[in-house]
Amino acid sequence: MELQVHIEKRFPGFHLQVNFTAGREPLGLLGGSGAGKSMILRCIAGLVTPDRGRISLNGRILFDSEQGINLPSRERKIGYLFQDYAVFPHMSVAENILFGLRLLGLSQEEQIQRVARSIDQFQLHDLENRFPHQLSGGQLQRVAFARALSTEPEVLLLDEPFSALDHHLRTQMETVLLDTLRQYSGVTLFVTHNLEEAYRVCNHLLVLSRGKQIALDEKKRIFSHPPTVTVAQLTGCKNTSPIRIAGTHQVEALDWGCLLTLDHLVSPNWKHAGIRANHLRLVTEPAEDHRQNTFPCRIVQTIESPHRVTIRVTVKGPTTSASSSTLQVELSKKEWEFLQKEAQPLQLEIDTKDLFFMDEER
Amino acid sequence: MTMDPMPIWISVKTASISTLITFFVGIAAAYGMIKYQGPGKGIIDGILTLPLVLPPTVIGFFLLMFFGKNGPFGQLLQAFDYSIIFSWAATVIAATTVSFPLMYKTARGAFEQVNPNYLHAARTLGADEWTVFWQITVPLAWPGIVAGTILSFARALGEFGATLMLAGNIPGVTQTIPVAIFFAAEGGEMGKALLWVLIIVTLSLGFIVTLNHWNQFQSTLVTRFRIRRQFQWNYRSTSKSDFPASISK
Repeated sequence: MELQVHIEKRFPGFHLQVNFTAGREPLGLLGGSGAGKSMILRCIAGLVTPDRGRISLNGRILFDSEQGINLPSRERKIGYLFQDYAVFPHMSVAENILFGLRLLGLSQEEQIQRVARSIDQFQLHDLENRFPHQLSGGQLQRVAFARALSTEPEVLLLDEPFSALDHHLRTQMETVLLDTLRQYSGVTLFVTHNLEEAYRVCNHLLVLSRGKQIALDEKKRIFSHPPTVTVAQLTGCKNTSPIRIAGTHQVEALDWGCLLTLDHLVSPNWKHAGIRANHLRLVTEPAEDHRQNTFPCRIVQTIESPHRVTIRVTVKGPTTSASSSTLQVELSKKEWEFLQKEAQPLQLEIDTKDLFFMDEER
Repeated sequence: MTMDPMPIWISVKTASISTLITFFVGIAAAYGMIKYQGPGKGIIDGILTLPLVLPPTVIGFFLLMFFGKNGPFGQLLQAFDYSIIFSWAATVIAATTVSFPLMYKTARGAFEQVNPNYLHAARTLGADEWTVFWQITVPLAWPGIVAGTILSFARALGEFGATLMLAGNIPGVTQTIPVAIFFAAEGGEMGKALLWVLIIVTLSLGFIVTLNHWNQFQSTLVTRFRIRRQFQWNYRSTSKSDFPASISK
């Protein structure tokens, strides 16, 4: 099972350029809106023709600009789950699922059995003869899912499948998706702008920014060592700062206004440092082994979420000025309540194990 | 006052045949124009819409030039010793030409309203363009297509100017109700003219009301007819299978 995509497509003010291979493991396409995620899926499905390049699926060439090959969508064996589901409004649930099966040239018995199997798998019992306008968002999504998988496609393209669902349904549908993907033997591409969703569903991530692929790696590596500031921000890192190398083991974080002492050698290529909000800690007394990287700080703002608190702080120190930007610290409510009871001023602890460094933007 | 009922028959026949032609040609033109991405799209659209905005006499004049003795098509027919001018066919040509833009415009608008993701979904599920068109595009655009048909028929039924110029006023052959009204009124037979007016108002209103009702019925039934019928047939042919019983409803 292998999907190779190496394509280029130009629009006014937008240039899509990607080169990746996806295998048995679901690949997540992560990026902001307008980054070109959906466009990639459209090119693979044959709904949009790339300007140049090549797309091959299990050795079959779907598109090759040099050889002049461009298979129509219907011959590509692709399952596409649209953001708005695109469940045919003039057909019942069963007819929607049957649509692709009727075109496969299967025996009627086989068709009926496969519709029944889909209905079982996606728990659509008693909804077979309902029409889309009689269904809820989650039910529509299951129908779209069942329909996309009914023809046993070799690739499953999921275009922000949960974006229209509320939080509770989202979690439910994610479970359905994970169960389905476990049984599905083809290639899966999962487009999302929700990084937690991408992290839960996929093992490998492709990060896109304005049509360019800026990272392609195992999710853990992308999250622990984002290669650039854009990737760091897209993967939810709230704190980044340009740095100046101050010694063999020391860097100065210019935006944060603090001098950080590392326990490993500095590399001359480093241009930026980053640390995730949940890796920062607020303490009243510096711990013995972190004394060097604990700084007095001032709280600028606190923002409460249901279970967590985000605290924006600035470092107080000789190099800080009014222009120093804030760092975001994320704590659990319990930790924050505990800290508030302490009367002492708070200090910011930066654990250099969680700190990562990035080269110049490519 | 004696009245020849022929104009009713000629009007209805003309409007029906021209609507039938307009239906298919208009849909084909609408779909073709959506697919067409080449140069001059705006101009072609303009030409196809022109009969809607030009005075019917101008349409009649153009048709005369084209189908007349010295026109390109007229000369071609003359070789077979046939002339369209002042024949019943001329009433159909005139009615078709003036009603075409209504079908074309309405159908095109209806096609463009269809969410392209439905078409994309059908294609990725293995449908060719023909299947996409008949099973997705047309059913989803159906209310618009029906509206276009109603408008075309009404326009064809009321056609006067171009008909008079191309087909003339030959009682029993080309005299439609609107033409009959004109000549009755011109000849001072106001009672006769009024009667014709009442007839055409009744005809048009009745037609539109009937079609509206039929359309409501249609949109819940007939648009799904093809698929539904086949689906149920599938079920019956395998009714002993373990397929959930609720599907037979």
